[in-house]
Amino acid sequence: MRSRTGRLTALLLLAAAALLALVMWGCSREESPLAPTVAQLDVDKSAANPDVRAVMDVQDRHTQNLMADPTVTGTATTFTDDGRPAIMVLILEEGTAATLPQEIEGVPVVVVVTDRIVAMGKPGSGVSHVAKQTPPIQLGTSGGWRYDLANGYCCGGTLGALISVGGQKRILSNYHVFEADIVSGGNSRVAATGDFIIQPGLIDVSCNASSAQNVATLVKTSSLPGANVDCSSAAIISGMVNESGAILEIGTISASTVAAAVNQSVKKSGRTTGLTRSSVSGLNATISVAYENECAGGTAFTKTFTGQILVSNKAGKFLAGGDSGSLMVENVTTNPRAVGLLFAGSSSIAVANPINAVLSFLNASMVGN
Amino acid sequence: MPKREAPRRAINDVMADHVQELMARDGVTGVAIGETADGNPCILILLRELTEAHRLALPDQLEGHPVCLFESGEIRPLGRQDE
Repeated sequence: MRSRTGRLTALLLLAAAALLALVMWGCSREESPLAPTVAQLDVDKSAANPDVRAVMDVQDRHTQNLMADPTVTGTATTFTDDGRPAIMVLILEEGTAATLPQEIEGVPVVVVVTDRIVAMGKPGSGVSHVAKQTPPIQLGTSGGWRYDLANGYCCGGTLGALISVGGQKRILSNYHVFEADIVSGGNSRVAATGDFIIQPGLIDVSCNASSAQNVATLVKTSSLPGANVDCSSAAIISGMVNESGAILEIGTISASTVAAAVNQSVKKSGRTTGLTRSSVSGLNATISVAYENECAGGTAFTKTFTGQILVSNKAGKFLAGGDSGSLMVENVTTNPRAVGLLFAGSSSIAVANPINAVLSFLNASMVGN
Repeated sequence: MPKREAPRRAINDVMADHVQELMARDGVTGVAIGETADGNPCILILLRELTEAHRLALPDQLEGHPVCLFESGEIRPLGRQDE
């Protein structure tokens, strides 16, 4: 039993060393295009190296203290770019780096910003963004127009956040999630004020609305095609929505907003990809987006938006189909400020309306602290 | 010695004057203010597919401001439909 555990540990260490080598190569590739030197290749990067074991001991002694910070998600033993054993500290927010020591007991500290680490095979953190919630519901969850079923398909997106319009609390999402059905076409109806907004959306209840719950009523505002925002809102039904505006895995947010900046770290909570983080990659963007006239319908119009926010979306990991309507906030733990309303994208880029443009169009304010 | 035009106008103004012409080009999905690899502002042109023809046809600077190219794929609303 012991030898089996020992072999397993050795294999894990070898795999970890190989992975770390790959990560280090990948991370440093832009700045250090040269191949590793022979001397670097000769360094034993396994636990058999006494220097590595010594660093592991230091790491073990300090891990508990380091992880007392909720934005620290892990520690490991690694190597610096110049081949010295080091302690790796995995953090969720770039701001945490400034609070960490550069050395611990003389061992260099390597900081890596990462998404929250989760068990593979179990999406997200275990918090479901598609399940029917017990009311009052939190936002960042699946939802949509109750009748969004046409042409053999049903449609939906994300109930993004809570806003206040003249004292009335409303769920904020996209025009194309709540009210894009503008032809009687495949379902003999168009979206109208007073129609129910459901949680979860039809796409998560096999297109059967009776398996979902009514949480709000649509206030049709027809932001598109005329305005420069893809937004809509729905008045909450008393008792059905958490009136603090709490968003799944984000919690409450700030009542104030913040403008986007290039490289700004952001996060969102959405129906499909759950809680994800990325960074702003472009500002003042002009983007053309084609819209359908109902679920799986024909093209209604192509809208050219200006002044939009672009966000990195490598392999669609930040935003994917069904996340539309998610609120993008700054990547801080407590009461983050809203940055934008996500509405479009591709497998490499995501697009958000600046939140102030959305709030201005709806004559609204964010519900928050 | 290579010469580069020094920018005389703000990058947002330059982009605004060129955005219509750029958006009209085949394969362009968007135009924005982005950042070069060395951290300087650039006029970012998004392309459905970034080809060698685009690299040759598109300018590498506009009025002294660098142009960055990015393959965006097709940008579409991110609602979801299921059967």
